[in-house]
Amino acid sequence: MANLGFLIAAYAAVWVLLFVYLLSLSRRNSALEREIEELRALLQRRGQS
Amino acid sequence: MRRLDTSLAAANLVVMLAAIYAVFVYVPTDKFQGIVQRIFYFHVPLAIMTFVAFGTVAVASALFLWRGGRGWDRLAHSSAEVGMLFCTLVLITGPIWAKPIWGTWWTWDARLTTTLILWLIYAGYLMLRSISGPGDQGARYAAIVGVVGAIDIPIINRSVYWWRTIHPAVLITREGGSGLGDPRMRLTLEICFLAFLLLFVWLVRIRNQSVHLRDRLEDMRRQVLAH
Repeated sequence: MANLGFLIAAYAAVWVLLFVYLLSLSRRNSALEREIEELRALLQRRGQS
Repeated sequence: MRRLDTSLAAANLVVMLAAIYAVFVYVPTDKFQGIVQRIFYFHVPLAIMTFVAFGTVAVASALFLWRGGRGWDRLAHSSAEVGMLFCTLVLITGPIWAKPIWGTWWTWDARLTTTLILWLIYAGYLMLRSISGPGDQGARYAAIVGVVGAIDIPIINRSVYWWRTIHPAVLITREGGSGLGDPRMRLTLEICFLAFLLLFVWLVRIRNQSVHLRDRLEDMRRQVLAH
């Protein structure tokens, strides 16, 4: 079991980076969707007035 | 679309779990390198998927330059970002394997150096995209970098044959045979390839939606300013 630490480090790096990337993608998409909704509401209000 | 994304995510999860089982339980330990050789089962598919990602950037960029159309540009942009993630993981897992085997984290070997150059080229591509903002001119400059940068891919692939190198040829040895003697090793590598192919497709789809949303947002901002 020599070098087990290297094996764990390599796989941990893969999973941590993938998780962080997925989290950042999800946050970016949510922020964009929220901003689109705000602009849509603004355009609707302007269209009514 | 949402159903396809969910199915893709579910398939990805199943194949990735199978890959983890194969790497940690099923595959035998390499006689010469020991347990650390198991890093290769993720490192090699990540490297191949890096080539697929940046190859997709090059093809989509060429089609964008030739025919136009935001769809090709979005595909290139999304693939570049996922390719950067994979290439970063290749450059992290490689040195972690190298330290116990070669006794050093990094050496200026031909394959390592050309892979680092690939990372730098597409880091430049993404920086160019972020500073140029929306609009066709920035997209066209980035597309040129996307096409030209891909020249490095065949150089990386052939580097272990063209130059004296200490990097192992895992799939096909320099003598011509397979670098993986046991059929269980080959099967494990194939499962890992499938897992990372599915991951690549899934991530590009999600990123593509993000780029699409950003384009819609820019259109709406223009409408707000025009009112």
